[in-house]
Amino acid sequence: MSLKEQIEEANKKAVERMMEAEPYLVDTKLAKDAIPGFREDMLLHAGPPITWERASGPMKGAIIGALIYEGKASNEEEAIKLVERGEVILKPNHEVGSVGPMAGIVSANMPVYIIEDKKFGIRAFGNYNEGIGKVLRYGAYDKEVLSRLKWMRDELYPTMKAALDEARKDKGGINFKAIIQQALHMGDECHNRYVAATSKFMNEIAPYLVKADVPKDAFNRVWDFMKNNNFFTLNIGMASAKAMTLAAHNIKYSTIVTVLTRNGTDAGIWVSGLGNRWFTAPSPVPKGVFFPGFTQDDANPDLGDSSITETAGFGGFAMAAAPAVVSWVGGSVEFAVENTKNMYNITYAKHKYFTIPYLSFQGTPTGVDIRLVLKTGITPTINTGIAHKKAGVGQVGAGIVKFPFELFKDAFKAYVETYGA
Amino acid sequence: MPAKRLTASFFGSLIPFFRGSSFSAEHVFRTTVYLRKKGGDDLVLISSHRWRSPFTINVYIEALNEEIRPGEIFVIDQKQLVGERVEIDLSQANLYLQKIPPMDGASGLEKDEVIYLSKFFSLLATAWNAFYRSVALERICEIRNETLSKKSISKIVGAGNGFTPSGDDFVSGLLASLSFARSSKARWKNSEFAIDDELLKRTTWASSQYIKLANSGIYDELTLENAIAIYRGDLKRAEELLLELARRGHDSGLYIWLGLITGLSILKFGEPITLNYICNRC
Repeated sequence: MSLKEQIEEANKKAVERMMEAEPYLVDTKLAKDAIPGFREDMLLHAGPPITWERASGPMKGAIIGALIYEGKASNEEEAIKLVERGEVILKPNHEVGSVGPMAGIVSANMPVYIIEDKKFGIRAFGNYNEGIGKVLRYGAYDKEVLSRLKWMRDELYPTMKAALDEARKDKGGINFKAIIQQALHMGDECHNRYVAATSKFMNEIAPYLVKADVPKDAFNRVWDFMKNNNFFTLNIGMASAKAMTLAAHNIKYSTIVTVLTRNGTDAGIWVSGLGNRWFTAPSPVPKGVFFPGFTQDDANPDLGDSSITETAGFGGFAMAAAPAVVSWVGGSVEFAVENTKNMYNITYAKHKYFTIPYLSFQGTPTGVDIRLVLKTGITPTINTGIAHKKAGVGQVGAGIVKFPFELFKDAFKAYVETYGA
Repeated sequence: MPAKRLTASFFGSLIPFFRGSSFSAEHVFRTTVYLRKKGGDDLVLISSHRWRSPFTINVYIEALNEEIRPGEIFVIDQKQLVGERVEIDLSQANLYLQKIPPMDGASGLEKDEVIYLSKFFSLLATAWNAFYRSVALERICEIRNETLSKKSISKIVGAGNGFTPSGDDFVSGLLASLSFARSSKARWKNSEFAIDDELLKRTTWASSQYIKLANSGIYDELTLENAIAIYRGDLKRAEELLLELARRGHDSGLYIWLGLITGLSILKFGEPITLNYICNRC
């Protein structure tokens, strides 16, 4: 078999597996109980590996907040000393099959969703979504942020767990691939717009919440939280995407990208045929629409594991399905359509199940191929939230960002070293 | 009176020699227009690409094919290119002069570097669906160990598909490489051979012009930059420029680069290293 045929076969297999994965939301547990190898002194974070010294403002803010939340520090100063003494292990989410938006910080006692891929038996994890604005994932850690996180652990988590136990007993969990599939036909692209997906999810979970017989006031608070947070299901969608991309990972000869991510300092990628080897380059600063009182100058370089959605063939790659998302991330409807069309140039396939009505139900661009990025010079373009560059402020807008070309070039060079015998 | 006036940013050093001559727009594409001299075969390009050449007029415009029609007649005068519908002002444009730096002290890429680039190229080329299945590559592989001659080249000229057949792109790159070695006084002995009209009849007019010009040491700036990098032995730059050249046309850039590196390989190492690598794997 020629090298071209070997690559072709590997990529076909990788993308088929990505598309055929069947991620179900099956359970929720505290991170320390759910994620294999999780340690009490560990904090998971978004993006490629990062040290405290190189971490950006919002990443540092989220680390400080998580340490206070865990009771390991009582204030900012103590938290910083703890990290500087090397008593905190910082580890990328992706290295343990997990994902988190923006700073993506996951600590031992934070609840995480457990996604199980029914087709290939892979598990992936994602933390809970706090809403928008002043939230931990954007680097804010004041009282309001911490008390919300505690409520999420003490009330939202047990309520969700009870409901998911019922859902699992009834039908093996909630089929989140089906929700994404439908949401793409209802105006979501499932990265920065989860309006339809969250509504669909609420429809799915409602009977199990009732069946779980949770106290009425807790039920009401949980229901209101879901209802008032259009991003409630973002993290479930991301963990589903992680399961899909894990199914495509570690396939010999494959040139398909299985992780696209950022940590606020560096952007990083994984390539299926190159395993868990990170390729990194400075993270770009998104351009976008800012909340009142904030400008482009306030923007931090991009961060978050949420670009796992584009890696799996939706999110920014499916913007043509979500014209309304431009009011949130900027640009025009024409740009949204153009971006989707442009991404076909660097992807291996059109998704079999995720389709775009406006493009005559064409499948979404799926499976970024590093060779095609080099061939065309086009890099993955995604939509994203924008964090303030200073720790403690939070989200200041949303926008568009392109991954740096160097990532793909470096990955290709490593591919040449590995396979160019 | 032309309806539209465009402003050129650059014009090549051959353009002034065509003053007073008429050209016909032989082929019109979105980013390039091929002008053919009336009563002759000479080629002048109007291009919106950033790369320049001695025979190119560069203009910044979205779509040349929306402004120029096939068959449109142009006349090059003192300060402008005047067509029936479009006029291109040359008075503000800068002259592009092809400068070939001396290479007598340059080491050229080392053998292991050529091997690395061969691997890089062979894997990159898998992204082009037709590359490894093309008749042109098959022919090139067949003659790769023959002595470079008019006879061997003739088996490649005109081979393959496309506006400029892939075999011709390879030959253009090879001749550009050999002529670069001559004019830059590179240290390696080179085999010079004549390309005659009979050989050029085997292919399209535009393609034959590229071959003829390359044989005379005239080619575009990107090809020149690639040649400089490989003859200078600048691997990092060679890799960057390979990526840029590879994006030219359908797969023209791939074949031009293959010709360029083959030229260096034959001159410096006495064997077509990249071809041997690719042909053994495809």
